[in-house]
Amino acid sequence: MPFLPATTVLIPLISAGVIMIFSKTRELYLKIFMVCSAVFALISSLLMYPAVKDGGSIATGTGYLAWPLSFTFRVDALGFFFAMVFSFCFLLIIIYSLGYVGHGHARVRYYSLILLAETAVLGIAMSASLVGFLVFFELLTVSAYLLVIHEEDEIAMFAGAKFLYMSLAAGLAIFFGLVTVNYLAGRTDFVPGGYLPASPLALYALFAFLLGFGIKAGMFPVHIWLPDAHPAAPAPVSAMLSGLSIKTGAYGLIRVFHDVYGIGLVRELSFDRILLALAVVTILLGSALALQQDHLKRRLAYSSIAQIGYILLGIALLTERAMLGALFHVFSHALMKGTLFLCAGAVIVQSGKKYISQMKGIGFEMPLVMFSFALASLTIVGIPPFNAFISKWHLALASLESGRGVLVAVLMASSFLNAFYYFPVVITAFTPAEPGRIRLDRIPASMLWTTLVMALFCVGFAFARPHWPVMLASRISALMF
Amino acid sequence: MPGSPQLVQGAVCFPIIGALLLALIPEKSDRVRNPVAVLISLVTAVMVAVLFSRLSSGEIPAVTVLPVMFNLELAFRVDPLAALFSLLASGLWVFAVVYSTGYMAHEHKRARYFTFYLLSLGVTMGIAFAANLFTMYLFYEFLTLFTYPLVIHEGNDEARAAGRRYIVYSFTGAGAILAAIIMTNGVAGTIAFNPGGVVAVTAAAAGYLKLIYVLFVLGFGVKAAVMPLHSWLPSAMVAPTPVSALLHAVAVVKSGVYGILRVTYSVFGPETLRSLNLGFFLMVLVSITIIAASLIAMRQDALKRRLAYSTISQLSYIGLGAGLLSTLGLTGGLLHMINHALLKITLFFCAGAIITVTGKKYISQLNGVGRRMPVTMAAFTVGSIGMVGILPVNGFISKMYLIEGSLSADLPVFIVVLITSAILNAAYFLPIVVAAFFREGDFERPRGLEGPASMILPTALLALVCLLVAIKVDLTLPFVTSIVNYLFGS
Repeated sequence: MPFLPATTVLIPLISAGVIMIFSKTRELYLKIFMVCSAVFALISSLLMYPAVKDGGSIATGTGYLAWPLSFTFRVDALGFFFAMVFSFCFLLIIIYSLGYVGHGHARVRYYSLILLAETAVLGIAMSASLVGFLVFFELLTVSAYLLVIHEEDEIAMFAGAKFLYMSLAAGLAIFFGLVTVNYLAGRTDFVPGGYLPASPLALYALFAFLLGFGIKAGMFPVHIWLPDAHPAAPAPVSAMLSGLSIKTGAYGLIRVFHDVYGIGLVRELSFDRILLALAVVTILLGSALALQQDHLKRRLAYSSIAQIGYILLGIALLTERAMLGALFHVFSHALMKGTLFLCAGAVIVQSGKKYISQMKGIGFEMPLVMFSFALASLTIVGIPPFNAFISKWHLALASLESGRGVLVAVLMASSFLNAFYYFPVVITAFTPAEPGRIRLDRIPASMLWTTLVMALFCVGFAFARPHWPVMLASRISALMF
Repeated sequence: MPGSPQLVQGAVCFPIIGALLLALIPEKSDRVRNPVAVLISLVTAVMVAVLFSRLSSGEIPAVTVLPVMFNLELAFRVDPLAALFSLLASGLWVFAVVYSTGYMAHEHKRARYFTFYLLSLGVTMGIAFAANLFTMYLFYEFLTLFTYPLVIHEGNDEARAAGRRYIVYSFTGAGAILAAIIMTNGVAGTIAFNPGGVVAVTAAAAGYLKLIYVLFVLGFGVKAAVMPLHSWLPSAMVAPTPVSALLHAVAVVKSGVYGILRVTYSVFGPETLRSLNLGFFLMVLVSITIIAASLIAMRQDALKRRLAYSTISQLSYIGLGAGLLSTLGLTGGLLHMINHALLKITLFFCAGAIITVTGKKYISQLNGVGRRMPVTMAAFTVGSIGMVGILPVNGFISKMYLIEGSLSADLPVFIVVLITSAILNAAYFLPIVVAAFFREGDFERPRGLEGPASMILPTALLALVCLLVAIKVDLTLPFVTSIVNYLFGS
């Protein structure tokens, strides 16, 4: 079915437009419509699986627009993997939003923007060239910015401005890289194995790409927008930013390394070492700073920086096993960080508490939510057999195979730090503040159920055999090397 | 269908004669004057469009109107570059005249305003079609004279002071041009435009030629608002907004740029300039302008003044493209001539609509104005995004070519200039958009259309054109490529 890559992108796009146009309709219809379109986007992306699972690809159209915007939608196994994660998490986040946005202001704007953000991330996964990638990258900047400032208070506006300007700088850096690639090679599409000839200019462009994608991914030293923007946004938007949006930066790096430059050239330019060093700093810095935060969402945001460091590490090692670890970590981090942010949002909605020090005994007031939080914490720390263990295992093995044993120590240190900043939250929550009874959570059902489902997916895959996401990730990385 | 020479003369003479007849319409008879004014601009645009369409068959209409002296003659010649500038100006003139009918509805001295507005159209066509430096100089001077009454339209002290400054700057620049023309005639024996240039380098004359080129650049640089010759432009913002929109974003300032392009490519030629190393001089001059004007723009609170400094900065992009002396660079510069014209006129139209509807002139007063004027601010958003150079609005295409041009010339420093300027653009345009939509202000939702239809519709239409030109690059790129090939003589 050759139209699937296009429909996956266009369904949420058109739905966003419809919601904007019919904003005066009864809100219930709009909500149903929004959830339906997220479901259809998920179905549309899952239907691509048979065609891509053995290394095939589907392309739609031959350029909807004139050059230089002649981008096509194309999906291969890697794009499918990201699209699947994006569309699944977006469905849960959108349902959760129904309860979270509840009776707040500018709800219809929020509905259409979250669908636009879904369009953007899916478009990034479906783009066949750098031009298409950049178009959706800019759409993500704009829609995510408007979502970050949803509350419109001073904190959100400040965080939003920081996010906007850094994202725009990222877009310009990628734009420069794109123009340079077009100048050097006369094309900007993604071709397995890459096509760029070696030249000093190619190195500059690669630095520009690193800057652009690094900003989006939250890589040290250009992560500084992230700890402000993620906490300031509404909780479902934080889940979207941390779980999905920063992955687009990692995705861009993978595409540029493998499908534009080719790993041979990346090695020749010694660029993998630069990324490796930055990834290590990102991991350690993110974890160390997370430890010091009392604001729960800020702690989660710093944790995201550390976790994206793992993914960058996997990309930088340039081996098949490392790529498997990175890809699987994309999947597992999306689920676990999504769960954690959804829990944090549930806590805010029920109790208004934002600081960990205020949360003593909260586990007895909202047991299901805090139970989900505990499950996701176990997963993210990487205790076997949970998901993050699998990715860290592969990353550690890949480090050893490439003769960089010191990276194993980095991974171990970061895991310890993870434990130090996640378990105290769980322990605080389940320490009784006063001898009292346990009450069930009092949050809207849509929030409770989506949190639980996401938490179950976090751990469910740990015990499922055969382990389908790992199999898929390993097949993709085998195809790439 | 009239022949091409008649059309060339018609496009210049018709608006001038029409404007003089328009002056006879009594002040009160707006219902007669407005349609007539729109009609005059529309007919002119159609004539230019017909000329433009004939260009594709390879025809380059030329007509000598009046031989004055041995080699001074009033002559027109519509080569591809002329066709581009004339079509751009006359097309946007129609929009601006329609917009003016709404904007000027409550202003005084409307008859004088429309008369000079249309006189400027004819004169601008004259500049575009000029076949030699003499003709261009003549119309260039007339443009100053005819736009002066528009600048001082308000009639107060501020307007008079701005007008005085405009006159002094323009005539000083024109003096430099005149001197350079005489010197060119002495060196080359001709002042006609010719692709590839008419000036040949000899070892003895190199210094002299450099002097001539610098005089030209400084002379035309006044209208092109190259720093430090720019200061008439921000003060001229005292003029009614349609004047700022069309003359100070498209016609007058682009005449200066057009002059620089003509001198660079039709008088000196890329080969000569390369051997004199003058392209670099131009690029350094405009790079300073690009950055400095952006920095000053950030500190302006009056919306129109901020737009004026943005214009100063953006005009120099075109100069940068011209100075690169390569096909890629010139393509970028010419594309930016089109793209900037469309974007900036849209932005000015928005500013004018805001002034008409709410009376607010300062950015700090515009918090929440998006509630009162959603269509206008949506158009403003499109313009702002285009100025920064974000996809998918048209500004990015020209920047793409400028960057590729800098790469091919092996001058990456200008890429830094372009990227820095883009970030600065974002820093002074986007806060306006954000404040308009997300800050609290005491604006009410409109009942019905948010302003006069004659102002809102052209604004919205131009914003759509900005998007269309970006999405269908086929509309502009092949033609610009053909101009570049023509100018490089290939």
